[in-house]
This record gives sequence, structure tokens and C-alpha cells, in this order.
Amino acid sequence: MNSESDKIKQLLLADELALLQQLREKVLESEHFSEAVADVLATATQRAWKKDPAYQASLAKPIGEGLKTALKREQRSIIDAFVPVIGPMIRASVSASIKKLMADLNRILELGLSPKAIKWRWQSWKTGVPFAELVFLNTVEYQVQHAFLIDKDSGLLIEYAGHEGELARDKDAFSAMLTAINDFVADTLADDTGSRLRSAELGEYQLWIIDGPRAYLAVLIKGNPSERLRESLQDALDKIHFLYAEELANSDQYGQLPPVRLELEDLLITKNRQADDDDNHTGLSRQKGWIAALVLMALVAWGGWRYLQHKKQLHNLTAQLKHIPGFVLQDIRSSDDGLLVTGLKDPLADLSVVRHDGVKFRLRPYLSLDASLVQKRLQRLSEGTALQARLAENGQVTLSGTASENTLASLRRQLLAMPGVNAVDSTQVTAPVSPWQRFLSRNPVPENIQATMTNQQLTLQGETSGTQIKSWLAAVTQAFPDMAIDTRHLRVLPDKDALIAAINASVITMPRGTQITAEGKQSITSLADKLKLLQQQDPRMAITLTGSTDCTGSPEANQKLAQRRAEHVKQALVQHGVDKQRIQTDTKPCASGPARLDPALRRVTTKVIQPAEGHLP
Amino acid sequence: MSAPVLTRKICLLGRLAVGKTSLVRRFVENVFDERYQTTVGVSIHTKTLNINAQTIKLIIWDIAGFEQVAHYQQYLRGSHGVLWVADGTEPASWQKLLAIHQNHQSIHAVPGVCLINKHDLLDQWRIRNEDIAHLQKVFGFVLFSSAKTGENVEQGFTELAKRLLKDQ
Ligand SMILES: Nc1nc2c(ncn2[C@@H]2O[C@H](COP(=O)(O)OP(=O)(O)OP(=O)(O)O)[C@@H](O)[C@H]2O)c(=O)[nH]1
Ligand SMILES: [Mg+2]
Repeated sequence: MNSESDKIKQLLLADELALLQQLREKVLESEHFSEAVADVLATATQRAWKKDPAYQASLAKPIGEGLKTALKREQRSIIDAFVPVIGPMIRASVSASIKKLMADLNRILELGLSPKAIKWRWQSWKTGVPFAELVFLNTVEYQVQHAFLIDKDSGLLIEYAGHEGELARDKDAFSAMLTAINDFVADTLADDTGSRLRSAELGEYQLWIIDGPRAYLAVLIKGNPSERLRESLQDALDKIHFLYAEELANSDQYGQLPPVRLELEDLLITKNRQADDDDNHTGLSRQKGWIAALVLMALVAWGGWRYLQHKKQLHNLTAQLKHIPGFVLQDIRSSDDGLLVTGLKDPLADLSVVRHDGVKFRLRPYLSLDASLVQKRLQRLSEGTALQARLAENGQVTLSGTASENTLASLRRQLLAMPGVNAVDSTQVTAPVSPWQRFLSRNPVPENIQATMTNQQLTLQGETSGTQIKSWLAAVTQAFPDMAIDTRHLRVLPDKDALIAAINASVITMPRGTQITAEGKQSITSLADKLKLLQQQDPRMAITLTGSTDCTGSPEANQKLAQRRAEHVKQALVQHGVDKQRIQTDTKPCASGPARLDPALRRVTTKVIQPAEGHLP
Repeated sequence: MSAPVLTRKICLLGRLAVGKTSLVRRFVENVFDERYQTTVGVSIHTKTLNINAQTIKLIIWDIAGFEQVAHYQQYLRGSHGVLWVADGTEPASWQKLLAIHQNHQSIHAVPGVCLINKHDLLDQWRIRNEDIAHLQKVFGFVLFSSAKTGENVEQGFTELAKRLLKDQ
């Protein structure tokens, strides 16, 4: 640069340079002020301590505890509160990078007084914002100025790339401090799984943290980065982990990994605003540029293809593994003959989809509480029972189906002892239907019969007709050949035909007039019962009572006596509850024969009138 | 070409106010301050040493005293060495060290050096010979130090650095 252009710059930028100087003084001033306050604070604290020694211990705990609760409550502001810790380092670095920026801007300014430059000069004069700052704001969207690759465990700096400055000198302390803050945040927010510091605003800088399995990436960005930058940073970090897994694991090599440094240097990008990109295409040597670009593309394609294949495999495998229930991926890395996967595996986890050549596993068993695996275990437990177990999200198991009380109780116990199960709801379980109950649903107990089943003994009680109970008992003994049946309280009643025959056969003798003997009274009672039974079975049934006489006496008297005998029995039957409408009377006095006393003919006989005979409606 | 620089992380562990921060400041900046400013969480310093033609850069994690919520454990992760600090005028300070050492099996694999600090306060000195013998057995190497006079401060850190190199 010649002194001519320096002079021009001095002329053009006198105001901005003065402003810059002022800014720098302000920065220093604020540092002095904070230092002064810090001194006063220290003395004040010390005095308090001198007065009361217990103050020491009593203050120490609340500080740590307070930080934790504050961080839980208001993450954003506490992270801001951490800024003063690393702030001074960054601030010093900012002034250094403004200097650097000035140098870079010289080039732009030398391009001359473009209309744009004049516009910015005018704005700068109007608003008081330094010209250089305006140029940055108007031409640069963002710039990644520092990239730190830091070991997650020890906080040791693995490699660093960045623009010169205070920060670069203190980068080891910066890395350690950042790791400590990060650990603190992670520890405090441990319950919100995996919550870590992702980004923080440090003045006009953005601090971004990209998390990786072994190392993390911290970058300081000036401007307004887009989320897409985070993706490409994540990709770069993945690539570093993949290519330099061994180097990252050996802290002896930290700071001596030029290839890693080169990767980081690639991240120090400046994203210009779109409009200016267009302006930059001058059209000069465009052809050469094309050829170079083509060659470069071919090279990149060749190298990239191989790398991408590998990366794709790795990526696919990782994605697959992450979705296998009951498997926790701890590490995945390339070994001599393919990929080596380290992880925790539940015995029920199914790894078959990812088991193929080129993938080796180093597995340790663990018990997964993943719902699908708990469900599988539930199924195994309920196998062989008639129960279904369903698992809800809150760990409640709902049982349905049938089971005996004993089976249910033991299953409940087992379920409640199972990790992942919090409660068991068995209200939907029904007691099993016994073979006996199933039999009954197909062969109902005949009417008026009570059947009770206790300890394989069937007790029957009640009255029934012979045919009904006979066929039912036959079914019982066929289905349960060994069943003991107690019929002591069962009254088997005659069925219709037998009843009719018995009724037709009944005779009530009346040795004198219409007098009924004790035997005749019994016959009437039994006849009444039979009649009632018969009418139960068929209400249309009726009878004819026929009164007879022997041949002593006049035929007229005999006719009357026969009629009276029949009426007498009818009355007795009605008194026993037989329907009057269903009783007809007839007479059969002595027709002809020797007029001698014949007790056998002094009687009333009975005959059933069947409905088919058409005597009654 | 000289051997490359090794970076190593070491942690200072000890009760509140035993002088951890004072030892680090004496070692790194060669200053001492009577005033007490408790450390919040952790404070980081670095110092480069030369030991037998090997350059080693120590990243020193000055962790707050145990009393300040038990979160010192997370700061220990990845540490290559531990400087155990007790206060020779305060028996509880070495008893606490022994208890912490016993409760953390994982720490036994890491090289350590133990400093009994504030040796300038001889009129209040309370550690007995049998205590020292016991500490020696547990921590391997014990020194009397004073951040105030500078006694054995450099020696303590250097001894730990040597052990880090040997440990490789
Ligand atoms: N006389 C004397 N005083 C010391 C010595 N070392 C530290 N002190 C004093 O002890 C007090 C505590 O010192 P610090 O170094 O802050 O203690 P610390 O172990 O860092 O304490 P925390 O980090 O808060 O746990 C201060 O007042 C120091 O001046 C020493 O060797 N001799
Ligand atoms: Mg301290």
C-alpha cells in the first residue's frame, strides 16, 4: 500500500477512526469500572466475614444452590449472567478483530467511490455508526471467526482455528471455562434430558455450541447466522469424529493435529449478502474459472462419493439403531473390517435388521422399559392363560379375558413385580365358565327343578314329570359320566299316558248308598292329584265319572243312586281343587242280572276324555 | 524439533478456604492476597512448565470448596491429576480429604499430590505426625506449603506434573 492511498484513507475515514478510538476507550473504561466495583465488593464481603466466621460457610452453599435454582427457573438470563466470565476475553478479541476488519476493508475502500460506498458514507455521517461497521453490516451476513474443538470430558482444547486476537491467546482457558459452564448447565438441567447449552449471545457475537459424542465444537460468529449454518457445522463435527476417532481419544496429540485444524479452518466462512455476491461477478476470466471449477468438482465428486458412501452407511445404521426399541447406542465407529457398534441391548430387542456383514457388535445386556418391550414381556407372562394384557402409557396394565381367582392373583403379583408396570387393572376380567355352566346353557334344568352343584355332586330338588327329567338326566350322565347325583329330594311325577292309564283304572267303591270308605277317600285324593297333574300338562283334558249299582232294588232307584254316586265323587274332587267344568257324570245302573248283593258293582269309575275325541271345546 | 506441547487438566480439591485459589494465584501470577473471595463453581488458570525437556501446559481447574453443593464431581471428569489441599491449622480439612478420597474409587487411578497449606501459621499448626503418615499412605506424596510465603508451591505443582508424565 502506498502512502498516497493511506492519505486518501486518512482523509476519507478521519471521522470513523476517531469514533473507533472512542469506542475502544469506552470498552476500557467499562473494564476499569467493573474492576473498581469488584474491589469494593471484595472488601465489603471480607468485613462481613471478619465479624462473623460462620458467614463463610453460610454464604458458600447458597451461592451454588442459588445458581442451580436460578438456572432451572430462568435459563436464558443465567446464561447471560455467565457472560461476564468469558466476556472480557471476548471483548478484547472484538477490538482486535475490528482492527483486522479495518485492514480487510481497506481493500473494499480502495475499489473507489462506488455509489454504494458513497451512500454508506452518508449514512455513517448521519447516524454516527462507524463507516467500517456499516460496510460490514451491509455486505456481510455473518462471519465465523473462531472455531474451537473441545474434548467433552476434560475440556481440553483439541484444535483451534480463528482470526488473531486476545481470545486466541487464552483459548485453552476459554475452552476449559466453557466446558465447566456447559457441565454446570447440563448437570443442573439433568432432569430435562440432554439439555445443554446450545447458544449464547456475547455482545455482537453469537456463541454456538455443537455437541458431538466425544468432542464438541464451539464457534464464535459475528452477524446473523442462519440455522443452516448449524447443520453444516454439525456435519463437519460428525466428519471429524468419523475420520479422527483415534486422534480424538488420545489427549497427547491435542494441539498437534494439522488435518483437524484444516477442517476447522474450513469452517471460518464469511457469508456475503446475496446482492453483493451478484456484484462480485465481474465476468473477467470466467472461462478459466469454469475449467477450474469443473476439475475441482470432479475431484470433489470422486473423493466425496467414497466418503459419502461410508457416511451414508454410518448414517443409515445410526438411524436404524436409534429406532430399535430396547437398544441404546453408545458408540459407533469404523474398525478394520467395517463398523463397530457399542451399545446396551435388552434381551428382547431385535437387532436382526441391522445384523449384516461389516457390522460388529459389542453389547452389554440391560433391561429396557420401552413400552413395546414391556408389552412383549406382558405377552410372555400371560401366555397359556385366557387373558390379554394391554399396557397404557402411564404404566398401567389392563387385563381382559377370563381367569380363575388363583390365576389372576398370581399373574397380578408377577405383573406388579415387573419393571415398567405401575398398576394392574383387572376389573374387566371375568371368572371362567365351568363345563357345568356351559352344559346348563345348552340343557336348561327342567321346570320346577332346582339343581345345585357342590364338589362334583349334583343335588336335584323339586317335582317334574318322568319323561322330562329322564331325558335331561341322560344328557347329564352322558356329559359327566362320573357325576354323583342326589335325587332324594326329587319327586318324579308320572307322565301323561301313565296318568291317563292310572286315572282310567281308578275305582271308588261305595258299599252302602253313597258312603265312601277310608280307602275310597284315599283313592279320591290320589285321583284328584292325578287329574290336576294331567290338566297341568294339557288343560283340555276332562273326565267322565260313571256311577254304577248292583241289581238289588228297582231300576228307577238304581238309576238315581248311580247318579248320586257319580255326583258325590264329583263334589269330592271339586273340593280337592279339580275344575268342575272338566268333570262329566254318567250312570251305569244294573241292566239285568240276578238281584243279588254285589259290592263290586257299587262304585264309581273314571274315564279320561281326550280332546281328540271331540267331547269338549 | 523440540517435543510437542502436552496439555493436561488438573483439579484442586479441598474444603472451603483452605487456600486453593491462593495456591493457584501464587503459582501462576506469583501474588498473594490476604482477602478471601470464595470461588463460585470453578475458576480456570493455565501455566506452562518444562520438565525434562518436555513442555507441559497445565489447565488448572480451581474448584470451589466441597461445601458448595456437591457438584465438584462433574468438574473432575477427564482430569489427569488432582492436587489435594488441606489446611494445617484445621483438622477437619484433611479428614474431609480422606473421606472424599475413600468415597471416590475412580479417583484412585489418577495421580495426586497433597499439600498441607498455611504452613506460615506455625503458632496455629495442628497436624500431628501420625496424621501425616496416614496422608502419605493415602495420597503418596505430601508437602507443607504456604501460599503466603510461596513455600513449596512451585514444588507441589511440579511434582504433580512429573507424575502426570510418568503416568503415561
Ligand atoms: N496465612 C495464610 N493464609 C492463607 C494461605 N493460603 C490462603 N490463605 C488465606 O485463606 C483464605 C482463603 O483462601 P482461598 O485461596 O480463597 O481459599 P479457597 O480454598 O480457594 O476457598 P474456596 O475456593 O472458596 O473454597 C484467604 O483469606 C487467604 O488469604 C496461606 O498459605 N497462609
Ligand atoms: Mg477458591
